[in-house]
Amino acid sequence: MAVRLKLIFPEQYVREPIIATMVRELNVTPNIRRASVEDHFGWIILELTGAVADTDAAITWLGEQGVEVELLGDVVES
Amino acid sequence: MTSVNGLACRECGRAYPAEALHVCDFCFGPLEVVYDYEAIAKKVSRASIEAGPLSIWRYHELLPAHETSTIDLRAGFTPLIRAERLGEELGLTNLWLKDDTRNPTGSFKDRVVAVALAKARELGFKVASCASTGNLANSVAAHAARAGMSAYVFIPSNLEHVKIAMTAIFDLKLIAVEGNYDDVNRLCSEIASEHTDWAFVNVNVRPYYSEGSKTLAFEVAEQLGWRAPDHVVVPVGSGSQLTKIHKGFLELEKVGLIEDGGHVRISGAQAEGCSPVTTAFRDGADQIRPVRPNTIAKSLAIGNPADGWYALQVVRETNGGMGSITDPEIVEAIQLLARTEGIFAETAGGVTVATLAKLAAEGVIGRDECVVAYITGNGLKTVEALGDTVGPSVVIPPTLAAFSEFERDQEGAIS
Repeated sequence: MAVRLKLIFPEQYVREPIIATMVRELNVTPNIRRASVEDHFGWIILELTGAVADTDAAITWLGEQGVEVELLGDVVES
Repeated sequence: MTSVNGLACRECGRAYPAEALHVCDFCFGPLEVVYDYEAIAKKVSRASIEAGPLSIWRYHELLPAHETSTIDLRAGFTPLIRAERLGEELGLTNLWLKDDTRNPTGSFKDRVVAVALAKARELGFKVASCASTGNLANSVAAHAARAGMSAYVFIPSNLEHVKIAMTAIFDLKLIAVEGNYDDVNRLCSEIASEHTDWAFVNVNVRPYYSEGSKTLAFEVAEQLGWRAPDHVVVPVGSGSQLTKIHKGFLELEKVGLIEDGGHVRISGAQAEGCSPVTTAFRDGADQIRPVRPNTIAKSLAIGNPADGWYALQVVRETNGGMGSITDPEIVEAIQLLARTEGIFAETAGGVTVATLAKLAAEGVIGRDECVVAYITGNGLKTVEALGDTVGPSVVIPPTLAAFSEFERDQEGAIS
């Protein structure tokens, strides 16, 4: 399973090595495609691959660290 | 032949062939159709368009599907109506309504789906698919039936019966998925990535699908006598429609059909219960913060709008405005539109009309600007949103005396 995500890091977490910690603690592989640090936040667009249970766990874990996680490409429309 | 050069990434500009692709492999940016405008300018004229069919396909040179692959349910070329009575109420002297309630399945989605499935057929797809909470499902089902394509449509299992019936009637595989919006979204993302042999209209053929919304600009310009309006008000869900209307006016100018496409001010309308773009606009923010939708305007309830950022840029660049409308204001605006102009709009139309009223009152829309408001869906689709705000004027026993008494009361009320 591969999921495309946008991660938004509030200002206080920009200096934290969150992606490195995620890789050490969870069985997922990130592939960063775009990233930026703005005035008051940072963002990363990446692909996360792994078993569904692992990518789900990683999304939950990122949320618990204070990172906003957006799934790219919602497919349900009105 | 179309004059499509291919696809290009909106973020990094990388070029791709005109195939069933929607995301840049390199940076994950969205892909957009790129045209050879010089070639188009040589092929089209006002006269050639005016001689075309009374549907979106009169603009086929500016659409990404070949003319021969069109699926014609007569989507588009809906009336542009001068709205004098509504204009008088709002203090606007030159107000027009684009009445897209008149499309084959009752919403503007017929424009985008017609283009998506025409392109899908051209690319050899036999199966059409989508995940939807209403309008898109109706339209995909109808167009697939017309084209003789199989269709798989995914809906949340708690969808209202009317919306299920309006899709199921077209004899397709209608899959009702249990769970909340996020569950349905996730499952459908997985299915779309598994079934690359299906044309998932707003996923793998999305670049073509969204181009259909440009016809909302093309028609307005033609119906105004080949000139652009000063200002348009557009409902914002994913934000795609607003950006494509902007692109449509710019394209008409590029190919020499109008002179003033770049001057159109574009304003956006959102429901207060789902207004991430309006919030970013008001805060001067440089990103869209996703929200969890809570509004009766279900057709605009996209909490994480894919094109929200691009829509925000267009509104800012064109000196437009944004509105956010509460549920009671939506219902009032639906009634205002019905009372003054005889058009019954779905909740998104209420959001648009209420935004029009607010922006006019705030002076964002000038009194004498030529303004067009897009009414994108039929009120029969969201009757439940009206609740008990509408009903009979009176209930009487079957006697003339009872009716006479009602008439007397009315006269008394008037005097």
